Amino acid sequence: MYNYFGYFLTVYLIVFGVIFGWFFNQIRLERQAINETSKLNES
Amino acid sequence: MFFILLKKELYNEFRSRELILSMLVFGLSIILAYAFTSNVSRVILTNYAPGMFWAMILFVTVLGVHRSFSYEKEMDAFSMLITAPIDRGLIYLSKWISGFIFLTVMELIICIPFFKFLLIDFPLNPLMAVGTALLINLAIMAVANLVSGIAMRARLSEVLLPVLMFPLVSPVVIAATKISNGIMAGDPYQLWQIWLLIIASIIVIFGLVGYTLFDFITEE
Amino acid sequence: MTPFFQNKINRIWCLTVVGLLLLNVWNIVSNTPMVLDQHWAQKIFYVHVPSAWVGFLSYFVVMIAGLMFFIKGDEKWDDVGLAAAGIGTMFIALVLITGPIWATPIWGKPWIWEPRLTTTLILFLIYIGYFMMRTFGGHIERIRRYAAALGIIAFVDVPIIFVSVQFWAPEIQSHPQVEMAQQPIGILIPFLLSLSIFTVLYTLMMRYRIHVIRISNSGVENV
Repeated sequence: MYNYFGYFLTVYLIVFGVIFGWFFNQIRLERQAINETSKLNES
Repeated sequence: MFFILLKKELYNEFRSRELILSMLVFGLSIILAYAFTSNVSRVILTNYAPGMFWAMILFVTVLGVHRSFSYEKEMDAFSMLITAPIDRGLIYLSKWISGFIFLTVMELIICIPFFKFLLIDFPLNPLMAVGTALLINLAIMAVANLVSGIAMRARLSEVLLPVLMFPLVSPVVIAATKISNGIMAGDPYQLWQIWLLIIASIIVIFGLVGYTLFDFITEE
Repeated sequence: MTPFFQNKINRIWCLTVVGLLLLNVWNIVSNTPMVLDQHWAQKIFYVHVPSAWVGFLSYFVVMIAGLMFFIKGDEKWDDVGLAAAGIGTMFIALVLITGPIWATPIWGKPWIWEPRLTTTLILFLIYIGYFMMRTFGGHIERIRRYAAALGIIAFVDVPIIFVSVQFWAPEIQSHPQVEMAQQPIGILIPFLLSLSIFTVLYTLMMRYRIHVIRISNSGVENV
């Protein structure tokens, strides 16, 4: 009850969620960038 | 060379009086807004007044510096200035010192309506107030002109200049408010001298950084 | 232009970092002492402070990248600066989010104008301006120069901001967990472990981000 576990869980979920989310977003951006450059190289 | 640039700025202003007048009028409208929005007792207003004054100076500085650098944008005078074989840091110095002079003149005029309309007593030690205001103006102008060198040639420069400038100038504003509060309350010098040191260090640091970086910023 | 994780070393590195992060969380949950008045909320400190450390380290890297960009004139340094600015701002945003969450049970209110939090907020606002400038700055060579200059100015301003904010409200005490060296060993060691793991994570993120930026840049230059 007064152990504040909810706050702890929220913070850790946010921090690690953002970090993993960043990695997944980077993978997506990388895929986009590679597709665009290969298209430009073809044309 | 620096004096030639400085004279150019001052002559421009002397002939057109554009900058000081527009800063004055803008300052007056801000004082009007203050008069309408401060629905508090006179004591609270007197305590808050230094902060209000420096907030007004911040907004006026944004206007003034934007206009001052706009002169260079018009007719692309910037490119001509840059291609001239001079040390481009001197452009920053001339803008800084001329801006400081204009801001000081404008402040001396605007404080009369500021104190009279908001019914605040003049500070007990006017010499001290003027002296510290000079230093604070130097500091504000140092930061503002440096940021202006970056922001002015972008799109949306009217938005970019305050957005970049206000966080960077926050130590100056904090120090200015503390100093002015101390002077208005008649505090002894020892209580707020640390803030003068902070202002002095800001002047030195930003002056040096601005002078050095302006060369790199205005390459083309 | 190969994907970052096609390289075997990068894959191993990434798995190591994930493993270290999990180890970190397990260590925090099981091995750290339970502080009396804050209970679980105190353990937020083990990610909050390392996030701030990584954020400020990243902003320091932006300044170094800016200096090197001006000294060497090599555009690659702007990629480093952009990557560091993005990652730094992300971690500073995390600090500004987790700080109030930690503060609500501990101090009773989500925000106070405490020196380090205020400095963090001001720095965050400066970097919002940095990204605005990158969007609206004009053509890319000009943006690179302005970004380098801003990175230098921002970090030079940090000590000034911190000193002024500290003297601004001296009655506001710093975080309870201010003096790291005075922490008991049971708290200090997991904290240092968390700090080093976050730094390793940061290096991986930087490498990846610079890689992605270089790919996008190479596409633009081919046009």
